[in-house]
Order: sequence, then C-alpha cells, then structure tokens
Amino acid sequence: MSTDRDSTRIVRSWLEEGVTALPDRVLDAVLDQVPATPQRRSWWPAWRFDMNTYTKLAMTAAAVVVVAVVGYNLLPNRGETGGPSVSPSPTPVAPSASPASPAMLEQASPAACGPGGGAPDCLAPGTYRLTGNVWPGEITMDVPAGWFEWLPSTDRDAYDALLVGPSTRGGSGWGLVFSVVDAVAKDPCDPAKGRYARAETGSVDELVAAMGRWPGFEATAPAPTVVGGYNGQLVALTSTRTVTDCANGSVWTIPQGGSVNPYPMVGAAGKARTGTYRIVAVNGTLLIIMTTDFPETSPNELSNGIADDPTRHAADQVVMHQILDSIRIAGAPAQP
Amino acid sequence: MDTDLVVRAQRGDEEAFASLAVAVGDRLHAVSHRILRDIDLAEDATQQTLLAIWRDLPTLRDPARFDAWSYRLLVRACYAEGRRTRQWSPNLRVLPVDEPAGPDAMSSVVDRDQLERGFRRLSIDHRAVVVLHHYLDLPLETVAEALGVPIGTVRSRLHHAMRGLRAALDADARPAAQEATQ
Repeated sequence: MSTDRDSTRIVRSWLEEGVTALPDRVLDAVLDQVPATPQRRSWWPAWRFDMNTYTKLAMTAAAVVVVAVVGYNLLPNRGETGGPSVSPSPTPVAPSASPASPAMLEQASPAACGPGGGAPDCLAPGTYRLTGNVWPGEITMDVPAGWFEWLPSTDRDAYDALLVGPSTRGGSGWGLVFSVVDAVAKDPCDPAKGRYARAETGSVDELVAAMGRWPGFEATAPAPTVVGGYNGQLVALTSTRTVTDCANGSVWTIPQGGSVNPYPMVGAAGKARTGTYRIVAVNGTLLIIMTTDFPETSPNELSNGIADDPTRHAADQVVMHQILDSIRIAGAPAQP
Repeated sequence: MDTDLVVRAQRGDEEAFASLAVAVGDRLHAVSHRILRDIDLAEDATQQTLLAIWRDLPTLRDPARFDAWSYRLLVRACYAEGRRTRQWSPNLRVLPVDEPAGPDAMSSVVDRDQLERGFRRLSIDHRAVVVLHHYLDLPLETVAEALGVPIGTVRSRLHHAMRGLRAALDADARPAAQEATQ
C-alpha cells in the first residue's frame, strides 16, 4: 500500500508531465478579440487599493488606533441572542490590543440565493455582526432570507456590501454598504482638485457639508437620523455626472489607501440613481451607511442587461429598512 | 506579476494586456490542461480565461492579487468546459518508443495510467485543489483564496482527492503483489 508521502511524490511527478506552453494561435485568437471586447466597469462600489504602501501590518496597527475601513465582514452572531444593548449615550470602550478577527465568511451559514452569487457568499437568515477591519466596536444586524454578502474579488480583507439577492454578475448592486471615511474628495470626478484635510470633515455636519459642495452632485437637505441609537444625518445625493466625465470617480479614501467610487450616483446616461447616506458619529468616529434606497432596477443590473423596472426593488426597500432598524452598535474606541 | 502591467491593463491599455497575456498564458494553460486532462478543452478554457481577465480587470480591486484572481477565473472556465463535455473522451497517451521497459519504467507507466484514471474520476473541484497545491505549489490558504472557498473545504477536497488517487495507485499494486506471491 502507498504511503501518503509516496502517493504525494508520485502525483507531483505525474503533474509535472504534460504541456506547459500556450499555442500561439490561442494567444492570437484572444488578442484579436480584445479590441471588440469592452471591459466591464465596476460601478458597484469598488474599493481600489491603488496604494501599495499599506501592508497588513500597517492595517493591524491602524485597527488599534483608528477605525480603518471600508467594507465589512459579516460573521454570524454565534450564540448571541439579541445582540448588545444599545446605549443612547455610548460609553467609550478601550481599544482592542489586537485586530479583530480576519474575514471568516466561511463561518457564515451559507444558503442558496440564486444565480450570480456563489453559495459561500449567501447568508442564511439570522443575526450577523460586522467585524474584521470594519469597525472596532460591534455592529450587529438581523439579515432575512435572500440577502448575501457581496464579494467582488478575491480580496477577503474588505467585504463591503450586504446586497439583496445576486440578480446578476457582480451582485444586484442594491443594498447597504458600510464604510469609514479617511480623506474626502473636493470633486469626486476630478482628482486634481484634491481632498479636504481630515480635520475639515471630521464631524457629521462637516462631512455632509463637504458632500453638498461636490460639483455636479445635488444633495438633499440633511435630515436627522438615528442608527443603532446614535444620532446622525441622512442625506441623499444625485448627480449629473456620467461615466464619460467621471470614469474613475472617488468620493473618499479609506485608511488603507483605497477609495470609494460614486456608485450609484454616477453611471452611464440614464443608468444612475440616488445614493442615500446615513452618517453617524460613534465616539468621534464617523460610520457611513450608504444605501440604494430606490425602487428601480439598480445601475449595476442595468449595466448587465436587466430591464429597467420602476418597482423592481420596492419590496426590498421595506426589508432594507427593517435591516437598518435592526442595527445595533455596541461602541467604538474613542478617537485620541 | 508586474502590478504596473496589471494596472495599465485595468485602464484599458491593450498593449499592456497583450504583455500580461503572454506572461501568464503558459502558466494558465498548464493548469487548465492538468485540471481538464484534455488539450482541446484546456485551450478553450485558457482562451476564455484570458478574455475574462481582460473584460473583468477593472473590477479587480487589488492588482497585487492578480494571480489568485486569475486562477479563480481559470477554474471557473474549467468548470464551464467540463460541463460542456460531460463525457470525457479517452485521452490516449503517446509514450516514447525508445523508453526503457524495465520494471521501474513499467511501474511508472502503470502508475501514470492509474493516476490518469483516478484523476478523471475526481470532480473539477477536487482536481483544481490538487493542481493548484501540488503543481503550482500554492499554500492551502492561497488555494482557498483563489477558489473562493474556506480553507477547511480545501483541506477536505485535497484529502478526498489524494485518497482517491492513492486508492487508484493501490488498486494497481494489489494484483501485482498477488502475482508476485504466486
């Protein structure tokens, strides 16, 4: 009988045999098709990690000092019932000496949620907790059936959105996105105009005001809102900018060096929608929840050929508000 | 991988993508051939993967993770090719006629044939794990990332796959051993 070591050696040796070169005709066929193959633009929030100076070590350090993130990791609330109590007057908690758990989506209960999303990305109904790099405190929420965590790439350090069923490639593009802001753009469509100093957008009112000044964007008057017991402002934005003049838009950077694009406000002509932002301050740290709070087909769905339907997400809106209402925030480290 | 090349291709630079395709084409093809065990299917899978890389590059957030991301696309293409032809055609091997036919060589040939049969009985899921780990030498964590599955799943698939391959090898060894004792 073969030992494990023998069989591994034999298998490895066997795998070494065989072709290793791609025939030129195959490569030629690919390159011939490239000019006629449009690239797929990621209009659903894409955090572009365009600075390579950040390492996981740096991220670890940042997690101790500053709320670092974008994206979120959803973990099942293992054995916790009802989640943490919510205090209208939050008590500061000591910063954790170690970073939160890494992304562990595999521990979420998978559930089938239709074509377009892999089973590991789908979530069984239950209470979930944001963790990882997202939030040093604890945010929990109740997720019903039919929602999934969007995973656009292999980057499991930055889960970013909770979407209603994955109706199409890249997810439905309709749901909630949690993020933390670092430096806010003065013009999301023109990086040459630079970004605000962090101190200029450090409060809810200052951030809302900065967003209201974005050229080509129109913001509603800020309205008071409460998320998880924390007061904040709600503002909805639309834009007249399109992919033509805002191809690499960025609304703000995140502490790791990536940036968040202006989905769903900027899209192809006739394919943009309103982005609704809830901004709350938790112990001096701004938590931003962007929602696609509209009933129509999402820009991402439109871009993937799904027909425009004015009521496609009407029922989802009701559920999304239930999710928002279920959010509980257990605190975050006070900023130094 | 040269991340600058990846970034330029992300921005629509066709020349950069051509360089990228040349740089990764052989490796992707080698992997797809080892997973699919069929040269025609492997060529199709590799071609589809390279086009998918071009099409979806703008959605790749971290260019430094290009390799793992491209393997994921490749395995998806292998799935698609595998579904397209569910019935695997026999893949006859041409052995060198001047290969010495001593006991060791014969044993090696038999091993290869047994492995071939054993491997073909595995699902694409299991083959992908074996190839990424034992051919590309990727750590299991990287295999999990590339396939988008938990590491526990990778370990499980690898365990079952290797058990199947070992059984294939042992199935060959048993009759030989019986003959030797007679």
